[in-house]
This record gives sequence, structure tokens and C-alpha cells, in this order.
Amino acid sequence: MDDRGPHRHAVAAWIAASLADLVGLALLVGVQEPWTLPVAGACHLVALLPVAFVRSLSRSEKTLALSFVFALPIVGALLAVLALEHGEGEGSLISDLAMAPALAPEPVAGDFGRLAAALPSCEALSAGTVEERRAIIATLVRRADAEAVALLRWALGASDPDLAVDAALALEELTASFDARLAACREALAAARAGVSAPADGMAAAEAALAASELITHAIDVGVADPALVHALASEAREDYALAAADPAHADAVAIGRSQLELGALRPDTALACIDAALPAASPDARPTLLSLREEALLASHALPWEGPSALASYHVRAHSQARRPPPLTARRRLGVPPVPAASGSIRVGPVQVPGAAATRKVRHGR
Amino acid sequence: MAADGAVYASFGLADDPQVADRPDVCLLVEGTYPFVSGGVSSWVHDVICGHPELTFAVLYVGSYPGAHGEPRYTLPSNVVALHRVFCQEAALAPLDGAGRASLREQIRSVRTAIDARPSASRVLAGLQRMHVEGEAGTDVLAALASNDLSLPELMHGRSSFQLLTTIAERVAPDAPFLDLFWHYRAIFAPVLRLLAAPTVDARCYHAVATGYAGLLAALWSHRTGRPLMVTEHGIYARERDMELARADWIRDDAGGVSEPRSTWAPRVSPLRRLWSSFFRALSRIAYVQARHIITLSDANRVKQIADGAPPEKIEIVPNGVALAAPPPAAEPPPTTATSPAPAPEQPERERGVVALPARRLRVGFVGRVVPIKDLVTFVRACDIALNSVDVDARVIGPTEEDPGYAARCRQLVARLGRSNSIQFVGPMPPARIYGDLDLVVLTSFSEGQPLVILEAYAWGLPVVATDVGACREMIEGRSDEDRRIGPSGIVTRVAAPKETGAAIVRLARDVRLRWRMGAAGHERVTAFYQRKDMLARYRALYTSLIAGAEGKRT
Repeated sequence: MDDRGPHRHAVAAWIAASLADLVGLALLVGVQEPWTLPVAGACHLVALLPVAFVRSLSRSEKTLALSFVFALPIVGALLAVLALEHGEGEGSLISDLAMAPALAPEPVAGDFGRLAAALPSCEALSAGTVEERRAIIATLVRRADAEAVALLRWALGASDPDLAVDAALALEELTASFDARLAACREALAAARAGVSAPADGMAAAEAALAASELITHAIDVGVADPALVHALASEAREDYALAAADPAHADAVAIGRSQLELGALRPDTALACIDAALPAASPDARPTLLSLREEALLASHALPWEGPSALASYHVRAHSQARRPPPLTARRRLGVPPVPAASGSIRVGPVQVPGAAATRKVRHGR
Repeated sequence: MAADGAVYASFGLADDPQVADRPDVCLLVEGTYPFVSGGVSSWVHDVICGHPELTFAVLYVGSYPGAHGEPRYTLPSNVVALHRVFCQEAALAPLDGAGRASLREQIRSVRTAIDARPSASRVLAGLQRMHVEGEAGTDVLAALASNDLSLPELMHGRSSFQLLTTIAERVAPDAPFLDLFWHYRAIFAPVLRLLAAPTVDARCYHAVATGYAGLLAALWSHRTGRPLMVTEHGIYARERDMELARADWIRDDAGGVSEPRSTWAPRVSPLRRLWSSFFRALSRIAYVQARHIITLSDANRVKQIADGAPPEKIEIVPNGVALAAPPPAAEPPPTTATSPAPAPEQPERERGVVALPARRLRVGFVGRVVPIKDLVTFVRACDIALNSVDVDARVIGPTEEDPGYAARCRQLVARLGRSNSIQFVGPMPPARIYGDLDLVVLTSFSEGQPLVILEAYAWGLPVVATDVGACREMIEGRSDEDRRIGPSGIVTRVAAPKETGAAIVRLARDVRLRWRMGAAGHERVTAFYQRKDMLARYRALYTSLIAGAEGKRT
């Protein structure tokens, strides 16, 4: 820790710098010739040289000293010495500046190349290094969506026991996080329900119920919820949605959430009924989401016994106009409307034109 | 005692009822005996009790003062000293204006003192070689052992800051510098506190892990010239890697391209890498200094070699238990007396086996109720099994280490509606545990060589265990001779409740298989995992270490 010692021994350099400036000043004052000004300027530049070659100074200290000497002829060297001896610098200005690009570099071609050359997730999980594998798993945990959970469950069955353990720990972390958040939501809901005495409290209870039900819906949807508990959790969420529906402001959120819940709990018919009941009163903002969920529910309710996953993979929801949408399933049932013809409300699954809901159900059950 | 050590390390000689001049063995443990119960602590206690002719000093390396509670074990009479060293100081209250001014003054005076230092710190040079050059040999150990760097120098010195910038430029250029600054302090401050701890003089040192305890043991061994032995139950560096992978106190989202949402181009966090390499370096330092490296299984031996342990130093000494029960009967029971039969028309009848009055299969989970044991999978497996057979499941072990997790498990049991079939009975002495069980199930994410399995074998019980640590070789056999005994249980994948549940159902329905596996377990533990064999091996090792040390001194 003796890096400041040499400052005191570089006295000659500071004196030389001041002398050079003094010579320039003497020329300016004593010799009134046309060449004196450029020579005095040269003397001032020469004053920088001894400072520039002081080895004991770090780059930032040298920059500071040169600035003093350049900006303040004659006294600059003295001020530089005082600043360096008594200053409280924390590090190197230059090295800090040099590091700045490392803090937030722009994506470069190499980054894109790295992305392009990267293995698919499954392969990287099985064949990547331990560090890469753990980085992928950490990313999956942060994403925590259905795809991420599916990948983690896939990794759980991997032949590499270390990978299986990493995936198991990641899934445990997701489940624990869900359990903790659900416990907090339940507590908030219980507190809100316990304090219901005024209409405002009822709104708070509806808010808390919506939060709890949406959390459960999300957990079921992405596959974090314990399979053995899905039935019980879905029942709890239905009750919470019913409570949340007490606040008309939540009508759209309840309709969407409840539909997603029923789809996640593998009850597409119920989802369809919920959506059909909610659509007439749905706000314009919620309508596209509900229609999209309706397509999903329609497809799921068909079960498609003759098609495998490849056909489903190519499924795209067709542009759907109000005029072409079949009447709601519950309405058909209630009014005794005959099955909808295949041309109406049908869905294209890859090259296959899937008939409407009622007709398909008839095929499936052989009735 | 070094001045810095007095401030930053608590050294518990004052707690000791009597202190011997020089104990035969100084056992160094990290976060376990005697303050935490568990497999490693039981093992340490066993080793101490098994060598009454030797005197022991126990050094406990903890996180910070007050983190541990009261001792969970009564120290045997041959423990002559219990010392405690802490990696962190107790949490301090935030400073007010006057406190900050005082601290600023302290820093200024420290810097003045540092500037007058005649030569560069050897410890800093050693840390640089460890982190920048990736070295962890005797030279690094010698540099660290010099203990010529104080904690204030590390925190506020210019040379220390220079090392930080070097690490930033050469080791972790992608890491945000401010994050790296704090991680640098978090990594090295505990090391300095350990370096400052006064050396416990002993005839030999025995570290029951690498890590911080291993580092301290290696330092003391180097300083005193006394030999060191390292026993690793789990592989310390690997276990820390597993924790680091999920550590939320390391930010990944800064530096470089913002974190891609896609997983197909993972960016390995430079800070995680820094921590990981630090723990590996700690292991290598202990391996280099140790005269003997003891491991429990072949699988762990391979991992140790991969982490830099010299193969010629490694010896496998399995855990051992005392045989408490007589061997199972020579013939299996003729009936399905303990097989569950939820309904009369169940498979036992279909197979033509005469069913006596059915008794519930008593399944035990024996261990601490903590996440690493994955009790959730045990509960789910029992729930699945209960759909087919009648099971009386018991969770036998302490729940206070992680009350939140224990509450979560209890809630799961309640929500599954299995409160009558799955019960938490708390810790019990082994004699009361195994005599009242038919099957032991272990669902851990990570294990070394679980004593629970050996204890179950000693009582003639079969085991269902996950494929972690040495579980597979304990169940299916390690050598040809061992494998000839036959399987003594069923190995399942981790976090696979269906698989575990199916194994429980299989053993519940097939009493002969259960008997056969229990008998194989008893034969296996008798042949390969006896406590007396383990103690004899350690006695020989201690004797050679102590004799070697004395010979060297004379």
C-alpha cells in the first residue's frame, strides 16, 4: 500500500513543470518580439512533459495533474501536488471509463451468432455444460409459464440424475412460491371477509377473492398446482370467482379467469357455458379474449379422437365473425335447438374441417 | 489473538468447562454438530463416542453469532473444548449521522495506516492467485496462512480495490461493477475472519467437510505442521453449486444483452461463476493439504477427483451403524399378515394368498423436515399409495429447522384429506422408530450416504429411496460380492411421487418381497456397514496421523 509514496519523490518533475512555465512568462514579459508568444506557448506545452512521465501516478491521477498544469500555468503544478496528496480518490477514472462499456454493451454480431448457434432448450439441458444447464433452469424458473414448467417436467424424467435433481429443485421452488402466495391471498381474503360491514368492505373482499382465484387459475393453467389438489383448488377458485363477481367492475376479469380455470381443469364445456353467459355483457376490451377462449374451449370440447398432436399443432383460430359463430352451447341445450350443421361454427384443424360442437360430440359418443 | 480477530470472530474458549493442553484431534465442522441435528451431526457424535481413548476439540464454524440455538447433543466427556468461529458479524443497526462521521474517520485513519505499509499483502496476492490465476496449491495456502491482511484493509485499502478491478477486468468482465464490489466483500470478508481466528493446537486436524471448515483446518495444519484429514459426506462444492443456481441474491439481469426470455441461449451469470469457483478453490485447498481424504461412496470419489482431489489420497470409508435387532427369520412369514387389504377382492386373494386380518403397512419417513428431504413427494406418494392400499405413514423427525416448510407439508396432508393416515410424530430414538415400522421411505433431493437407510437395514426393514448420493449402491450393492446379496429396496427417481407410490404399493402387497429385501438389507449392513468397522478404520487413521505428527516433531 505504498503507491502514494513516490508522489513525494517526484518533486523534480513538478519543479521542472513550473520552471518551464516561468521561462515562458519571463519571455513574454522581458522580450517583446513577435516570436515570444509562440515560444511561451511552447514552454507551456513543455511544462506538461515532466508530469506526463511521472511513473508513480496512475492514469487518472496523471490526467488530473496534466489538467491542472495545462489550465493553470505556473501554479497548476503546485495545485496538482496538493490535490494528489490530500485528495480522497476511490479509484482510477480511466479504468472506470474503460469499464463503462462492459456495464451495458450493445448487442453485437457475436451475440446474435451465439443465439443462432445455441442448442434447443431440451438439447442444451441434456448436452450443455453444468453451468449452461443451471442457467437455463434458472431462466425457466423466472419465466414460470406453461412452457417452462413443461420443460422442467421433461427434465425431471431425464436419464442424467443431476439434471433431474436440478429440475426437481426448480419445480419445488415454483410450487413453494405458489403455496406461499396462495397462503397470503387466503389470509387477505379471510381478513377482508371478516371485516365486511359496509359496501366498501364488500368491494375489498371481491378484490381479494379475485386475486386468490386468479392465482389458482394461473397455477392450474401452467401446471404448477399439485395434480392431486387440482380438483379442490378449482372448487376454491370457483367460490372465489363467485365472490369476486359481486363487484360489477370485475365482471370481465371474472369471466375470463373463470373460463381459463375451467379450461385448465379440463372442463371445456363449463368454460364454454361461462363464456357464452358473459359475452353479451362483455366490454369491447374483453370481447376478443373471450372469443379466443371460446375457440379454445370449442376445440377442447371436441376431444378429436381421430387426430394426434401434430394436427393440433397446426391449429390456428380462424378469423371469426359474429355472424358465423354458432349459438351458445347452453342456449342450444336449453332451447332444444338441433345440432349445428358442420358448416356453421366449424374449425379448421390443419387440413381437416372439424364440425361444430354438438355434431362432434354425437360422433364421439356414437349416438 | 489478532486484533481483527477479536473484533470479527467470536472464539468460544470461555464457554468450555475444561480445556486440555492439546487435544488429540481437532474436529472442524461447518453448521452442524453440536447445534444442528442430522446425519452429519450424528456421525460426528458417533465418531467421538467411539474413540473414548482420544480427546477431541470441536470447532464449529457458523454463519453469525446467535444463528444457532442450544446444543442438540450432550458433549461426550472426551470433548475437551468447544470453539465457535463465525463468518459474519451480527447484524448491526443502521448508523446515524454521528456514527457515519465516526466511521468515515475510522476509514481515513485505516487508510493512513495502510499507506505506511512497507510491503504488499501476501494474503491479497494469494486471493489474486486463487481467483485470477485459478490456483489453489500450497503456495496459495502459505500466502493465506500469513494472515497479513486485516478486514479494514480489505474493505478500504487501495490494493484491495486494485484486486477488485483486476477480477472485474479478467474474471468477470460482464458483471455489473457495483454488484461485483459487494460480492467481492461478501466472498472475502468471511475468509479474513477465519484467517484471524486463533489456531487451536491439536495433534491432528479432522475437517468434516471442505468449505470454510476445510479452509480453516488446512490453514491450521499448515501453520502447525500437524496432519489433516478431510471427510466429505456430501460434496461441498457441488452442494453449494445447487444452492447458487437458485440464489436470488445474485442478480442475473444486468450486464450485456438484457436477459433473453428464450432459454435457448442461456447467459451464465459471472457472479454465480465467481462464487462457484471460490467454493471449488476452498475444496482444492483442503484436498491439497489433507493427508487423507475420506469419502463415503464411489460416486462421491469420482466427483472429488473431478474437483481436484488427488486420487491416491482418497479412501472410501462407508458409514456404519450398530446392529440393534436380530436378523429377520430364516423363512418369510407364510401369510400376508402385514399386507394391507383395503377391499376383500384385492390382488392378494386373486393370487391365492390367504389373508390374515389386515394390518396397515407402517411406512416411515425418518429425517429432518426440510426442503432438501422433499417431504412433499413423500406425502404425495403416500396419497397415491393410499388409493390402492392401506398405509399408516409417519413423518419422524424434527420440524423446527424450517417451520414454514413443515407447515406447508402439514397443509398438504390436510388438503389431501389424509390427516388420519399421514402423521407428524416428531423426533424419536432409533429403538422406538424402526421397531414399529414395516418400510422406510427416503425422498431426498440430495444425500451422502444416509444413516437412515443403514439403521433401517439394521432392523431388517426394506427401503424405498431416491437415486441420489450413494443410495443406489446401498440398495443394489457396490461390489460384485455386495450385489450377490440382492436388492434391499427399490430405487426411484427424484420428485416422482407416482413411482414412489407404486413402490410402496408393491411392497405393501408382496409381503415376501418385503421380507426378502429386509433380510438382504440386514445381510448387507452386517457385511459392509457396521459401526465397529467404521470406527476401527478411523481409529487406524487417527493413530497414523498422530504418530506421524509426533514422529515429525521428534
